[in-house]
Amino acid sequence: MICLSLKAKFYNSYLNALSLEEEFEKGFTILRKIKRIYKKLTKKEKLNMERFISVFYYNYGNYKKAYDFSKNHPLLRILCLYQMGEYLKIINSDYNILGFEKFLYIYAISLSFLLIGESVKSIETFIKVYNIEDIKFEDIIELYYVFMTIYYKFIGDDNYIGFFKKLIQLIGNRVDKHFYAIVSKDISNLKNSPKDKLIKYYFKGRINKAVEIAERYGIKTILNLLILFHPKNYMKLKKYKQIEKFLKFSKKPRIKLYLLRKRPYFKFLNKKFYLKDKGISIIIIELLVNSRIKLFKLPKKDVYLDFLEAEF
Amino acid sequence: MKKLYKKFLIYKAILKGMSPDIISQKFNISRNVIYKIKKEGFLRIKEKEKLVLDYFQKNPFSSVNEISRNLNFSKSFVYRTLRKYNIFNFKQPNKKILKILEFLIRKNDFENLKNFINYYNIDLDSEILNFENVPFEIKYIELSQKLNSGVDISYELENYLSELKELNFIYLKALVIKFDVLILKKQYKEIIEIFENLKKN
Repeated sequence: MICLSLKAKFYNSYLNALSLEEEFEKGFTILRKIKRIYKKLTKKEKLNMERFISVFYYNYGNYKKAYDFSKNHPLLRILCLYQMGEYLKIINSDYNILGFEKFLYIYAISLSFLLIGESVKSIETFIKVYNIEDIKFEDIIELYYVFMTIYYKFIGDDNYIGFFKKLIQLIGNRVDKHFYAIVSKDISNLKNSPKDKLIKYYFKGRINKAVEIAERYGIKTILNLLILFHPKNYMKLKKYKQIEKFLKFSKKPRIKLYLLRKRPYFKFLNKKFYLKDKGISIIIIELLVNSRIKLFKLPKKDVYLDFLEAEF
Repeated sequence: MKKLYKKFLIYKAILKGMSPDIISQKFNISRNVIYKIKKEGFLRIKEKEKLVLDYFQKNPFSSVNEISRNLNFSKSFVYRTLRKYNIFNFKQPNKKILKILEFLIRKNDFENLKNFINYYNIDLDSEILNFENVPFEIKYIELSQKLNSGVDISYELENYLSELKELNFIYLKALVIKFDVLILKKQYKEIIEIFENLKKN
């Protein structure tokens, strides 16, 4: 076909369908064809094509590339920023969008508030959704329940299970498979896209691989949600700077007491501390157990621990 | 397109009843050109060019080489003609094009409107014009506009596509609208199937 404009329109639709059907290999061959004709297109066609390329990369899970192609499409840009974990940029942004797009914008802002720890502001922002004209609850039902599930999990309320079950009951198979996998830990539907790989690696315990993929493709929010819903050991997670802000959701390190040994000791952060003066030691353990000392901020050479070591 | 717009202005001046002398002075052209425009209208497509365009309309997958070989025209002529009529890249509607379109719609000159949109390949996806009694060949534009305003056109579109039958250029243009409808209905597999079939053809 020598008509480039029509060719471009065909490729756009095809690329969109392929990405939504998750046939990414075919999609990348079309993408190569698109790159060949891209320079010959008019400005308007180029803009339109960029949108489709960005959507393709977004569905694939390469948010960095999707962000690069979304220069002229504010909503796509916002969604990419949200996935890349740039929450402050979203909160400080100001776009005038109408209808369902406005809902998505508010949704991204409220989730950004939530993920930076401002849960009250988050819910206040989400309530604004009801002021948007032409929006029916049926249209936003999925995202409403997704938001509520994340919100309740974030504030530590077990009600989130109820919201998630309700979401499955109402929508069934149409639920976003990544969100379903994150909450339910069921990875049977996942394939080979970066998002899928990240979730699989995380559940298999290969955190380094998961963080590597997150860093490479800019998939931060999914990683954050994984830590939120299925916290891993603090010792495993603290190595990675990328997830520093979400370390508070990691599993707290345990104190293991071995009182019946010949020389009783307790283990904390993989270190042995022998209990010579049982009185002091028990006070320290009680303090730790009751969280009067913040476990994460405990310096390596704490006064009490020094004391114990000196005794030893 | 500059030439076409100039011809359009001359045609308008003729319709207003201005004398050929004044028009030739104003536009710096000979009177012969004015008489030609008066006789044939401003949207005249040369016979040779029409042959190339019609061949392309019927065989949208053909290349410049194939067209020149089958019609026995030089490659450069075929290339120039296709370029002149925006076959390679659809023309984005600017103010001048919109003025011509408005004029043709106001005059109910659907024959020329059809020729103008089809032969000059104007991209009217985002433009909203009120067409009444739209000729069959440009119905895809009406359908596209209906879709943009949120009307369910799937039944109408299927009828239209089945009437077009052949895999010509207009059919392909209408197919783009079908893709939009299918995407809205979330029937992505159908789009992939259509493409697989097109590849086979």
